[in-house]
Amino acid sequence: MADDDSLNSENEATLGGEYERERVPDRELKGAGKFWGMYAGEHAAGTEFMIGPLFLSAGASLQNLFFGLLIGNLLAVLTWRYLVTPIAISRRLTLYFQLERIAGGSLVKIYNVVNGVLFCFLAGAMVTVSASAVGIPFGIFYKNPESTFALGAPSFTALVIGVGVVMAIIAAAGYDMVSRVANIAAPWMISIFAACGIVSLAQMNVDSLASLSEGKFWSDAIDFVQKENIANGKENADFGLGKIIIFAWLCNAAMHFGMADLSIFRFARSPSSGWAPAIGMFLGHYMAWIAAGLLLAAQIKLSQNSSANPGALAWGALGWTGIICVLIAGWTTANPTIYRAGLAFQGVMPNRSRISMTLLAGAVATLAGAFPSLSAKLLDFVGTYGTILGPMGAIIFVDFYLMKRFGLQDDYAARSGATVNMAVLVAWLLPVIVGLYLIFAQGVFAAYAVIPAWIACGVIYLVMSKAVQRPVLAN
Amino acid sequence: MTGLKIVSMIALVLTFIPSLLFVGGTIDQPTVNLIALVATVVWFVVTPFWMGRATCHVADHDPLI
Repeated sequence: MADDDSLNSENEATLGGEYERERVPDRELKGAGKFWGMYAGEHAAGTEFMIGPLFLSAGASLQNLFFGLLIGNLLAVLTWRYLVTPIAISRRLTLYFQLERIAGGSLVKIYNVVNGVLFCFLAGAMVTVSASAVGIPFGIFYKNPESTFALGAPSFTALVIGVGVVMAIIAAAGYDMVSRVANIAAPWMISIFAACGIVSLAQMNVDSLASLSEGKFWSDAIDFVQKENIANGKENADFGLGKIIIFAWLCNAAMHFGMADLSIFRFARSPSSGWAPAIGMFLGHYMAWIAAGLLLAAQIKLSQNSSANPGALAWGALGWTGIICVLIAGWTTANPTIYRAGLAFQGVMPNRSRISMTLLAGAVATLAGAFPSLSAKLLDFVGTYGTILGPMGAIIFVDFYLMKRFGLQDDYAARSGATVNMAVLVAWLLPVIVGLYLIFAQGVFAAYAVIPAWIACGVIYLVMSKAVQRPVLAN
Repeated sequence: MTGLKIVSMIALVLTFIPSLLFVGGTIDQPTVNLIALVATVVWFVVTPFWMGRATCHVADHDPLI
């Protein structure tokens, strides 16, 4: 029992459940090994089952995929190491507390709600993924309707509602059990992703390095998808090397450019911990994406079916184990997401219970999950997510490195007592509005908007601060 | 505890190795699926006895993609 207590106590600190509104004390700092262990299991999730096949559907060549993901993931790791970790180690505060000190409590609540709504859509995609797995034994398959906001077959919609209700109830019950299952499942899931990819290669008779490097199995699958698109009057997508690099770099932009992972690295003893996301990137966003893409290539070869139904794809490779993997991957991604969204909603409605807000988040996620085509737009969603949340990281970057150099006050809201720092509000909204206009009205690939929005936000924040800041007492 | 860890590790390896044997033509796909399923059951039954409560997931961490 004593051992359990000390373990729990240590884990609470490791988990970031403490020191929400204070600097992490030196005695709680962790070595790099903790971070490598944590990230090893963090990026092989339910989303990977959707994203991998989407690369193939979008026409990305295998060569570009191997090379582009390598470069993009490397850039992501460098961003974590050199953008996030130095600030995290210097200040040792959560993203939310730092933002509150800079932007004001009310503005952080708005940011948190936006975060929560986006989390609901992400969780919705994972409800769809899990339902695709649950449907296999019952012979219920989902097919993407033409329209984004069209329901699938009535049987699949009923299944989504059932899965969504169960997930919302479990999320409302608390985080501990899901966290424990996710923890136990992480190494197994990585192994299953790899096995799925290798079985798919065997199914396509790729049994030598020569046939793997020739990549005919992949180009044949792309040809099939593109011919099908032409027959259906659809335009073929272009997903070249640059797009792959930018996507791989910025798909977690909210975590690195957006500084969400300050909350993790504030516990790092040394900056070298900032390299730890490399293991998550190269297992989850390299191996698992390619393996998931191979699942679709094998399905196309074996059954001339280009439908990226994660449950059916995993079933085709590993049978029941594949189904369990998709279900657990979707569930362990959706549940914490619904839980976090519930907390975000409760932040603006403090009189409501966490349980009711989590159920509300679960209901929104279930509604989103009922539209299967939404999950098929995960590549766009991820870029949009980074465009909206990433710029807040520029606020923290500028506040940390530049404010004093320009004779301005850092942590201005904390020093002035403002609940909304107008400089932050304008600097955040303007680039995001322009970015969303470019994405939704002009059809710009969403991930392309992330870095311009981040830079614009930082510059506007500096200029606006010069205009709005008034002298305040030193804190 | 060490014995349980070894069983878990063997189970984990058995979720993966059969796929390599399938590529090499040593076993067929139904056998791969059966071994992977048995290994999965063993992993989830045995591992909770030794794996710590939460060494790698972050309670207040934003969702990952």
